[in-house]
Amino acid sequence: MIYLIKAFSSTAVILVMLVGLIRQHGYSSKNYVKTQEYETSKELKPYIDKFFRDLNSHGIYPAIPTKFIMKFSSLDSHKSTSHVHGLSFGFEDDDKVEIYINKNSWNSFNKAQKHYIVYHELSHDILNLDDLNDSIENYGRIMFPYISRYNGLKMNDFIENMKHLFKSIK
Amino acid sequence: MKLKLIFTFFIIFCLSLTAQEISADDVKEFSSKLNDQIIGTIVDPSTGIKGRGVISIGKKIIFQYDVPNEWYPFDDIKEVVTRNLIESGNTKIYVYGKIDIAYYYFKNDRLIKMVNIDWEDLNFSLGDYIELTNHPKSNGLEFKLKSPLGWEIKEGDGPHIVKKFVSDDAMYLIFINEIEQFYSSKEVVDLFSNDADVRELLEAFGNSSGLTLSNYKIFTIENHPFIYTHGTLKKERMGYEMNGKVHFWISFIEDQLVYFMGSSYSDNDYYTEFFKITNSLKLLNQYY
Repeated sequence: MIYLIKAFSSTAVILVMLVGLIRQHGYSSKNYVKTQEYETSKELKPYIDKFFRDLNSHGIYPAIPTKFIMKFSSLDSHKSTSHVHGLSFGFEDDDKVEIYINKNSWNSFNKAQKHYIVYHELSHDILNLDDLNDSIENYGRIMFPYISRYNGLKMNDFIENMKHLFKSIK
Repeated sequence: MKLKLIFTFFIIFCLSLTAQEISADDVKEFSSKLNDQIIGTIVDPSTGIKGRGVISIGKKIIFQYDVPNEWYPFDDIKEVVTRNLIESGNTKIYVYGKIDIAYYYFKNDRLIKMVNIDWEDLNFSLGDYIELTNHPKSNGLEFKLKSPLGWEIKEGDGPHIVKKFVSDDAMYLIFINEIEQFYSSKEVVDLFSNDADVRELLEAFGNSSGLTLSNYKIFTIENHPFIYTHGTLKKERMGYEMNGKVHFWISFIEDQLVYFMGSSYSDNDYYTEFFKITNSLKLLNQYY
Protein backbone atom coordinates (compact mmCIF):
# COMPACT_ATOMS: atom_id res chain seq x y z
CA MET A 1 0.00 0.00 0.00
CA ILE A 2 2.82 2.38 0.85
CA TYR A 3 4.25 1.86 -2.65
CA LEU A 4 0.99 2.86 -4.15
CA ILE A 5 0.72 5.98 -2.03
CA LYS A 6 4.27 6.88 -3.05
CA ALA A 7 3.36 6.37 -6.67
CA PHE A 8 0.25 8.47 -6.28
CA SER A 9 2.23 11.18 -4.55
CA SER A 10 4.62 11.11 -7.46
CA THR A 11 1.69 11.48 -9.79
CA ALA A 12 0.60 14.57 -7.96
CA VAL A 13 3.75 16.23 -9.27
CA ILE A 14 2.49 15.85 -12.81
CA LEU A 15 -0.73 17.45 -11.78
CA VAL A 16 1.17 20.32 -10.27
CA MET A 17 3.03 20.64 -13.57
CA LEU A 18 -0.28 20.71 -15.34
CA VAL A 19 -1.44 23.69 -13.34
CA GLY A 20 1.73 25.49 -14.24
CA LEU A 21 3.71 25.06 -11.09
CA ILE A 22 7.08 23.41 -11.20
CA ARG A 23 8.16 21.09 -8.45
CA GLN A 24 10.67 18.35 -8.24
CA HIS A 25 10.03 14.96 -6.81
CA GLY A 26 12.52 12.30 -5.82
CA TYR A 27 10.81 9.07 -6.80
CA SER A 28 12.89 6.73 -8.88
CA SER A 29 13.20 2.99 -8.73
CA LYS A 30 16.53 1.61 -7.59
CA ASN A 31 18.71 -0.23 -9.99
CA TYR A 32 19.85 -3.31 -8.20
CA VAL A 33 22.25 -4.48 -10.82
CA LYS A 34 24.74 -1.96 -12.02
CA THR A 35 25.76 -2.42 -15.60
CA GLN A 36 29.34 -1.41 -15.06
CA GLU A 37 29.89 -4.11 -12.46
CA TYR A 38 28.07 -6.99 -14.05
CA GLU A 39 28.04 -8.61 -17.39
CA THR A 40 24.48 -8.50 -18.61
CA SER A 41 22.70 -7.96 -21.87
CA LYS A 42 21.06 -4.56 -22.04
CA GLU A 43 17.71 -6.09 -22.93
CA LEU A 44 17.82 -8.38 -19.90
CA LYS A 45 18.75 -5.74 -17.36
CA PRO A 46 15.23 -4.38 -16.68
CA TYR A 47 14.05 -7.93 -15.97
CA ILE A 48 16.98 -8.54 -13.62
CA ASP A 49 16.27 -5.26 -11.83
CA LYS A 50 12.65 -6.29 -11.38
CA PHE A 51 13.68 -9.70 -9.99
CA PHE A 52 15.68 -8.06 -7.20
CA ARG A 53 13.04 -5.38 -6.71
CA ASP A 54 10.39 -8.07 -6.21
CA LEU A 55 12.61 -10.09 -3.87
CA ASN A 56 13.14 -6.97 -1.78
CA SER A 57 9.44 -6.18 -1.73
CA HIS A 58 8.92 -9.66 -0.26
CA GLY A 59 11.52 -8.99 2.42
CA ILE A 60 14.23 -11.09 0.76
CA TYR A 61 17.64 -9.44 0.48
CA PRO A 62 20.10 -11.94 -1.02
CA ALA A 63 23.80 -11.26 -1.40
CA ILE A 64 24.64 -10.57 -5.03
CA PRO A 65 27.83 -12.34 -6.11
CA THR A 66 30.55 -10.25 -7.64
CA LYS A 67 30.70 -12.61 -10.59
CA PHE A 68 27.40 -11.89 -12.26
CA ILE A 69 26.91 -12.95 -15.85
CA MET A 70 23.50 -13.04 -17.47
CA LYS A 71 23.39 -12.69 -21.19
CA PHE A 72 22.09 -14.07 -24.42
CA SER A 73 23.79 -16.95 -26.13
CA SER A 74 23.22 -18.86 -29.33
CA LEU A 75 22.36 -22.05 -27.50
CA ASP A 76 20.72 -23.32 -30.69
CA SER A 77 24.07 -23.55 -32.40
CA HIS A 78 25.36 -26.23 -30.01
CA LYS A 79 24.00 -29.73 -30.36
CA SER A 80 23.83 -30.34 -26.60
CA THR A 81 21.88 -27.13 -25.92
CA SER A 82 19.86 -26.76 -29.08
CA HIS A 83 16.55 -27.23 -27.24
CA VAL A 84 17.52 -25.30 -24.13
CA HIS A 85 15.93 -21.91 -23.48
CA GLY A 86 18.17 -20.95 -20.60
CA LEU A 87 21.16 -22.34 -18.73
CA SER A 88 22.41 -21.45 -15.28
CA PHE A 89 25.77 -22.42 -13.80
CA GLY A 90 25.54 -20.77 -10.40
CA PHE A 91 23.16 -23.21 -8.72
CA GLU A 92 24.36 -23.87 -5.16
CA ASP A 93 27.35 -21.65 -5.78
CA ASP A 94 26.89 -18.43 -3.85
CA ASP A 95 29.92 -16.86 -5.45
CA LYS A 96 28.58 -16.63 -8.93
CA VAL A 97 25.61 -16.04 -11.16
CA GLU A 98 26.21 -17.33 -14.64
CA ILE A 99 23.17 -17.54 -16.87
CA TYR A 100 22.77 -17.82 -20.61
CA ILE A 101 19.45 -17.25 -22.34
CA ASN A 102 18.75 -18.67 -25.78
CA LYS A 103 18.34 -15.63 -27.99
CA ASN A 104 16.04 -17.40 -30.44
CA SER A 105 13.80 -18.60 -27.61
CA TRP A 106 13.74 -15.09 -26.16
CA ASN A 107 12.67 -13.62 -29.47
CA SER A 108 9.83 -16.11 -29.73
CA PHE A 109 8.63 -15.69 -26.14
CA ASN A 110 5.72 -13.49 -25.12
CA LYS A 111 6.06 -10.93 -22.34
CA ALA A 112 5.05 -13.36 -19.58
CA GLN A 113 7.48 -16.04 -20.80
CA LYS A 114 10.33 -13.52 -20.81
CA HIS A 115 9.62 -12.74 -17.17
CA TYR A 116 9.23 -16.43 -16.38
CA ILE A 117 12.60 -17.44 -17.83
CA VAL A 118 14.55 -14.61 -16.19
CA TYR A 119 12.97 -15.24 -12.78
CA HIS A 120 13.40 -19.01 -13.24
CA GLU A 121 17.12 -18.86 -14.02
CA LEU A 122 17.85 -16.24 -11.38
CA SER A 123 15.97 -18.31 -8.83
CA HIS A 124 18.40 -21.15 -9.57
CA ASP A 125 21.49 -19.02 -9.08
CA ILE A 126 20.41 -16.48 -6.48
CA LEU A 127 17.97 -18.54 -4.42
CA ASN A 128 19.50 -21.98 -5.14
CA LEU A 129 16.09 -23.35 -6.09
CA ASP A 130 15.93 -26.50 -8.17
CA ASP A 131 13.53 -27.33 -10.99
CA LEU A 132 10.12 -28.67 -10.07
CA ASN A 133 8.83 -31.95 -11.45
CA ASP A 134 7.09 -31.98 -14.80
CA SER A 135 3.62 -32.44 -13.34
CA ILE A 136 0.30 -30.78 -13.97
CA GLU A 137 0.12 -29.25 -10.49
CA ASN A 138 3.41 -27.46 -11.08
CA TYR A 139 2.31 -25.98 -14.38
CA GLY A 140 2.48 -22.20 -14.16
CA ARG A 141 5.00 -22.19 -11.32
CA ILE A 142 8.23 -20.25 -11.78
CA MET A 143 10.43 -23.33 -11.26
CA PHE A 144 8.52 -25.50 -13.72
CA PRO A 145 11.25 -26.58 -16.15
CA TYR A 146 9.46 -26.07 -19.49
CA ILE A 147 8.88 -22.38 -20.06
CA SER A 148 8.15 -23.03 -23.74
CA ARG A 149 4.85 -24.59 -22.63
CA TYR A 150 3.86 -21.24 -21.12
CA ASN A 151 3.06 -19.62 -24.44
CA GLY A 152 -0.60 -19.45 -23.39
CA LEU A 153 0.10 -17.84 -20.03
CA LYS A 154 -0.30 -14.13 -19.35
CA MET A 155 1.39 -11.59 -17.12
CA ASN A 156 -1.26 -12.18 -14.48
CA ASP A 157 -0.19 -15.84 -14.27
CA PHE A 158 3.41 -14.81 -13.92
CA ILE A 159 2.62 -12.28 -11.18
CA GLU A 160 0.57 -14.73 -9.13
CA ASN A 161 3.16 -17.50 -9.44
CA MET A 162 6.09 -15.18 -8.73
CA LYS A 163 4.37 -14.04 -5.53
CA HIS A 164 3.56 -17.64 -4.63
CA LEU A 165 7.25 -18.54 -4.96
CA PHE A 166 8.67 -15.58 -3.07
CA LYS A 167 6.14 -15.89 -0.27
CA SER A 168 6.97 -19.59 0.08
CA ILE A 169 10.70 -19.00 0.59
CA LYS A 170 10.51 -15.94 2.81
CA MET B 1 -13.79 26.22 -54.18
CA LYS B 2 -17.30 27.46 -54.79
CA LEU B 3 -18.64 25.07 -52.18
CA LYS B 4 -16.04 26.26 -49.71
CA LEU B 5 -17.21 29.83 -50.18
CA ILE B 6 -20.78 28.73 -49.72
CA PHE B 7 -19.90 26.96 -46.50
CA THR B 8 -18.01 30.01 -45.28
CA PHE B 9 -21.05 32.12 -46.04
CA PHE B 10 -23.24 29.65 -44.22
CA ILE B 11 -21.02 29.77 -41.16
CA ILE B 12 -21.08 33.57 -41.12
CA PHE B 13 -24.81 33.51 -41.76
CA CYS B 14 -25.44 31.17 -38.89
CA LEU B 15 -23.09 32.87 -36.50
CA SER B 16 -24.82 36.14 -37.25
CA LEU B 17 -27.88 34.65 -35.68
CA THR B 18 -26.06 35.31 -32.42
CA ALA B 19 -27.38 33.16 -29.67
CA GLN B 20 -30.51 32.39 -31.67
CA GLU B 21 -31.40 28.80 -32.36
CA ILE B 22 -30.94 27.84 -35.99
CA SER B 23 -34.41 26.90 -37.13
CA ALA B 24 -35.63 24.50 -39.79
CA ASP B 25 -36.61 27.53 -41.87
CA ASP B 26 -33.05 28.87 -41.65
CA VAL B 27 -31.76 25.52 -42.84
CA LYS B 28 -34.31 25.43 -45.64
CA GLU B 29 -33.36 28.90 -46.82
CA PHE B 30 -29.72 28.03 -46.86
CA SER B 31 -30.31 24.68 -48.58
CA SER B 32 -32.11 26.54 -51.32
CA LYS B 33 -29.09 28.79 -51.87
CA LEU B 34 -26.78 25.79 -51.85
CA ASN B 35 -29.04 24.03 -54.32
CA ASP B 36 -28.68 26.84 -56.85
CA GLN B 37 -24.92 26.60 -56.63
CA ILE B 38 -24.44 22.85 -56.66
CA ILE B 39 -26.68 21.65 -59.51
CA GLY B 40 -24.58 20.36 -62.40
CA THR B 41 -21.29 21.18 -60.70
CA ILE B 42 -18.57 18.54 -60.84
CA VAL B 43 -17.77 18.19 -57.16
CA ASP B 44 -15.10 15.53 -57.56
CA PRO B 45 -13.17 15.69 -60.86
CA SER B 46 -11.33 12.45 -60.09
CA THR B 47 -14.54 10.41 -60.06
CA GLY B 48 -16.84 12.63 -62.09
CA ILE B 49 -19.41 12.96 -59.30
CA LYS B 50 -21.79 15.79 -60.13
CA GLY B 51 -24.05 17.87 -57.89
CA ARG B 52 -27.72 16.96 -58.33
CA GLY B 53 -29.22 19.29 -55.75
CA VAL B 54 -29.59 20.14 -52.09
CA ILE B 55 -32.78 19.85 -50.12
CA SER B 56 -33.64 20.00 -46.46
CA ILE B 57 -36.04 18.07 -44.32
CA GLY B 58 -36.49 19.74 -40.96
CA LYS B 59 -32.98 20.38 -39.69
CA LYS B 60 -31.36 17.88 -42.00
CA ILE B 61 -29.50 19.02 -45.12
CA ILE B 62 -29.42 16.43 -47.88
CA PHE B 63 -26.72 16.72 -50.51
CA GLN B 64 -27.62 14.77 -53.67
CA TYR B 65 -25.15 13.65 -56.29
CA ASP B 66 -25.20 11.93 -59.68
CA VAL B 67 -22.47 9.35 -59.95
CA PRO B 68 -21.00 7.73 -63.09
CA ASN B 69 -21.89 4.15 -64.00
CA GLU B 70 -18.47 2.89 -62.94
CA TRP B 71 -18.72 4.42 -59.46
CA TYR B 72 -19.57 2.22 -56.50
CA PRO B 73 -19.72 3.32 -52.86
CA PHE B 74 -17.01 1.88 -50.64
CA ASP B 75 -18.06 -0.18 -47.65
CA ASP B 76 -17.05 2.33 -45.00
CA ILE B 77 -18.26 5.40 -46.84
CA LYS B 78 -19.99 6.83 -43.76
CA GLU B 79 -16.82 6.56 -41.66
CA VAL B 80 -14.71 8.07 -44.43
CA VAL B 81 -17.09 10.98 -45.03
CA THR B 82 -17.44 11.64 -41.29
CA ARG B 83 -13.68 11.52 -40.86
CA ASN B 84 -13.10 13.88 -43.78
CA LEU B 85 -15.65 16.35 -42.49
CA ILE B 86 -14.16 16.40 -39.00
CA GLU B 87 -10.56 16.54 -40.16
CA SER B 88 -11.30 19.36 -42.57
CA GLY B 89 -12.71 21.37 -39.67
CA ASN B 90 -16.03 21.94 -41.44
CA THR B 91 -18.25 20.48 -38.77
CA LYS B 92 -18.58 23.23 -36.21
CA ILE B 93 -21.60 24.81 -37.82
CA TYR B 94 -23.49 21.52 -37.94
CA VAL B 95 -22.70 20.90 -34.30
CA TYR B 96 -23.55 24.48 -33.34
CA GLY B 97 -26.83 24.40 -35.23
CA LYS B 98 -27.59 20.74 -34.37
CA ILE B 99 -28.01 20.11 -38.10
CA ASP B 100 -27.91 16.56 -39.40
CA ILE B 101 -26.57 15.95 -42.89
CA ALA B 102 -27.05 13.29 -45.51
CA TYR B 103 -25.47 12.36 -48.81
CA TYR B 104 -27.63 10.67 -51.45
CA TYR B 105 -25.97 9.13 -54.49
CA PHE B 106 -27.93 8.56 -57.71
CA LYS B 107 -26.93 6.44 -60.69
CA ASN B 108 -29.10 6.82 -63.81
CA ASP B 109 -31.71 8.60 -61.70
CA ARG B 110 -31.88 5.72 -59.29
CA LEU B 111 -30.91 6.20 -55.64
CA ILE B 112 -28.08 3.74 -54.97
CA LYS B 113 -26.66 4.90 -51.65
CA MET B 114 -27.71 7.01 -48.67
CA VAL B 115 -25.30 8.19 -46.01
CA ASN B 116 -26.91 9.77 -42.94
CA ILE B 117 -24.74 11.53 -40.40
CA ASP B 118 -26.16 12.85 -37.14
CA TRP B 119 -24.73 16.11 -35.90
CA GLU B 120 -23.62 14.36 -32.70
CA ASP B 121 -21.35 12.14 -34.82
CA LEU B 122 -19.73 15.26 -36.18
CA ASN B 123 -19.22 16.63 -32.70
CA PHE B 124 -17.05 13.76 -31.58
CA SER B 125 -15.85 10.55 -33.19
CA LEU B 126 -12.98 8.28 -32.46
CA GLY B 127 -10.43 7.52 -35.15
CA ASP B 128 -8.03 4.65 -35.48
CA TYR B 129 -6.25 2.84 -32.71
CA ILE B 130 -2.88 4.15 -31.66
CA GLU B 131 -0.60 1.28 -30.70
CA LEU B 132 1.44 2.40 -27.70
CA THR B 133 3.09 -0.84 -26.58
CA ASN B 134 6.47 0.10 -27.97
CA HIS B 135 6.38 3.71 -26.88
CA PRO B 136 9.42 4.30 -24.63
CA LYS B 137 7.23 5.82 -21.91
CA SER B 138 4.79 2.90 -21.91
CA ASN B 139 7.29 0.87 -19.83
CA GLY B 140 6.43 -2.30 -21.74
CA LEU B 141 2.71 -2.14 -21.02
CA GLU B 142 0.94 -3.70 -23.99
CA PHE B 143 -2.00 -1.51 -24.92
CA LYS B 144 -3.65 0.64 -27.54
CA LEU B 145 -6.50 3.12 -27.64
CA LYS B 146 -8.31 5.33 -30.11
CA SER B 147 -7.64 9.03 -30.56
CA PRO B 148 -10.48 11.45 -31.34
CA LEU B 149 -10.84 12.63 -34.93
CA GLY B 150 -9.80 16.22 -35.39
CA TRP B 151 -7.85 16.35 -32.13
CA GLU B 152 -4.12 16.93 -32.27
CA ILE B 153 -2.00 14.00 -31.13
CA LYS B 154 1.07 15.16 -29.23
CA GLU B 155 3.94 13.52 -27.42
CA GLY B 156 3.74 13.93 -23.65
CA ASP B 157 5.94 16.71 -22.33
CA GLY B 158 6.32 15.25 -18.84
CA PRO B 159 8.53 12.31 -17.93
CA HIS B 160 5.65 9.83 -17.62
CA ILE B 161 3.11 11.29 -20.01
CA VAL B 162 2.96 8.97 -23.00
CA LYS B 163 0.64 10.93 -25.32
CA LYS B 164 -1.74 13.86 -25.28
CA PHE B 165 -4.84 14.40 -27.39
CA VAL B 166 -5.61 18.09 -27.63
CA SER B 167 -8.65 19.96 -28.97
CA ASP B 168 -9.56 23.65 -28.79
CA ASP B 169 -10.42 23.61 -25.12
CA ALA B 170 -9.88 20.08 -23.90
CA MET B 171 -6.95 17.80 -23.34
CA TYR B 172 -6.66 14.08 -22.68
CA LEU B 173 -3.44 12.53 -21.51
CA ILE B 174 -2.08 9.07 -20.84
CA PHE B 175 0.18 8.71 -17.82
CA ILE B 176 2.27 5.65 -16.96
CA ASN B 177 4.78 5.31 -14.15
CA GLU B 178 6.47 2.26 -12.68
CA ILE B 179 5.55 1.34 -9.13
CA GLU B 180 7.71 -0.79 -6.87
CA GLN B 181 6.07 -4.17 -7.29
CA PHE B 182 3.73 -6.22 -9.45
CA TYR B 183 0.03 -6.38 -8.72
CA SER B 184 -2.20 -9.09 -10.12
CA SER B 185 -5.65 -8.13 -11.37
CA LYS B 186 -7.16 -9.86 -8.35
CA GLU B 187 -5.02 -7.82 -5.97
CA VAL B 188 -6.13 -4.63 -7.69
CA VAL B 189 -9.77 -5.73 -7.43
CA ASP B 190 -9.27 -6.42 -3.73
CA LEU B 191 -7.54 -3.09 -3.19
CA PHE B 192 -10.25 -1.14 -4.98
CA SER B 193 -12.99 -2.93 -3.07
CA ASN B 194 -11.69 -1.42 0.15
CA ASP B 195 -13.21 2.03 0.49
CA ALA B 196 -10.68 3.24 3.08
CA ASP B 197 -7.74 2.21 0.86
CA VAL B 198 -9.19 3.90 -2.21
CA ARG B 199 -9.84 7.10 -0.29
CA GLU B 200 -6.30 7.02 1.05
CA LEU B 201 -4.94 6.61 -2.48
CA LEU B 202 -7.10 9.41 -3.81
CA GLU B 203 -6.08 11.68 -0.99
CA ALA B 204 -2.45 11.12 -1.96
CA PHE B 205 -3.36 11.57 -5.60
CA GLY B 206 -5.20 14.83 -5.11
CA ASN B 207 -2.89 16.15 -2.44
CA SER B 208 -1.37 18.84 -4.57
CA SER B 209 -2.30 22.47 -4.85
CA GLY B 210 -5.45 23.29 -6.69
CA LEU B 211 -6.78 19.77 -7.20
CA THR B 212 -10.05 18.95 -5.52
CA LEU B 213 -11.39 15.49 -6.21
CA SER B 214 -14.98 14.47 -5.70
CA ASN B 215 -16.28 11.05 -4.93
CA TYR B 216 -15.22 7.98 -6.88
CA LYS B 217 -16.62 4.96 -8.67
CA ILE B 218 -15.03 1.71 -9.71
CA PHE B 219 -15.24 1.03 -13.44
CA THR B 220 -14.21 -2.09 -15.30
CA ILE B 221 -12.40 -1.52 -18.56
CA GLU B 222 -11.05 -4.52 -20.43
CA ASN B 223 -11.81 -6.75 -17.41
CA HIS B 224 -9.52 -4.57 -15.33
CA PRO B 225 -10.72 -2.34 -12.47
CA PHE B 226 -10.22 1.41 -12.67
CA ILE B 227 -11.04 4.14 -10.17
CA TYR B 228 -12.98 6.94 -11.80
CA THR B 229 -12.94 10.28 -10.08
CA HIS B 230 -13.40 13.86 -11.12
CA GLY B 231 -12.90 17.28 -9.72
CA THR B 232 -11.62 20.75 -10.35
CA LEU B 233 -8.23 22.25 -11.01
CA LYS B 234 -7.38 25.88 -10.41
CA LYS B 235 -4.97 27.50 -12.82
CA GLU B 236 -3.59 31.01 -12.67
CA ARG B 237 -2.23 32.74 -15.75
CA MET B 238 -1.32 36.41 -16.06
CA GLY B 239 -3.23 37.12 -12.89
CA TYR B 240 -6.41 35.45 -14.08
CA GLU B 241 -7.71 32.41 -12.33
CA MET B 242 -9.30 29.66 -14.38
CA ASN B 243 -11.18 26.71 -13.04
CA GLY B 244 -10.76 23.51 -14.96
CA LYS B 245 -12.73 20.31 -14.85
CA VAL B 246 -10.76 17.09 -14.65
CA HIS B 247 -11.73 13.45 -15.01
CA PHE B 248 -9.47 10.56 -14.07
CA TRP B 249 -9.50 6.83 -14.70
CA ILE B 250 -6.79 5.32 -12.52
CA SER B 251 -5.48 1.81 -12.06
CA PHE B 252 -2.48 -0.39 -11.45
CA ILE B 253 -1.63 -2.73 -14.27
CA GLU B 254 1.21 -5.18 -13.67
CA ASP B 255 3.84 -2.94 -12.06
CA GLN B 256 2.65 0.34 -13.55
CA LEU B 257 0.47 3.14 -12.27
CA VAL B 258 -1.71 4.05 -15.22
CA TYR B 259 -4.12 6.89 -15.44
CA PHE B 260 -6.06 8.65 -18.13
CA MET B 261 -6.85 12.28 -17.44
CA GLY B 262 -9.21 14.51 -19.35
CA SER B 263 -9.29 18.21 -18.55
CA SER B 264 -10.93 21.33 -19.89
CA TYR B 265 -10.89 25.00 -18.97
CA SER B 266 -14.16 26.03 -20.53
CA ASP B 267 -17.83 25.80 -19.67
CA ASN B 268 -17.96 22.48 -21.49
CA ASP B 269 -17.59 19.31 -19.53
CA TYR B 270 -16.11 16.73 -21.86
CA TYR B 271 -16.88 13.73 -19.69
CA THR B 272 -18.62 11.82 -22.50
CA GLU B 273 -15.75 12.40 -24.91
CA PHE B 274 -13.12 11.46 -22.32
CA PHE B 275 -15.14 8.40 -21.38
CA LYS B 276 -15.31 7.27 -25.01
CA ILE B 277 -11.55 7.59 -25.43
CA THR B 278 -10.87 5.69 -22.22
CA ASN B 279 -13.42 3.05 -23.08
CA SER B 280 -11.59 2.37 -26.35
CA LEU B 281 -8.62 1.06 -24.34
CA LYS B 282 -7.42 -2.40 -25.35
CA LEU B 283 -5.06 -4.16 -22.99
CA LEU B 284 -3.25 -6.56 -25.27
CA ASN B 285 -2.36 -10.16 -24.50
CA GLN B 286 -4.53 -10.23 -21.40
CA TYR B 287 -6.89 -12.97 -22.43
CA TYR B 288 -6.70 -16.68 -23.00
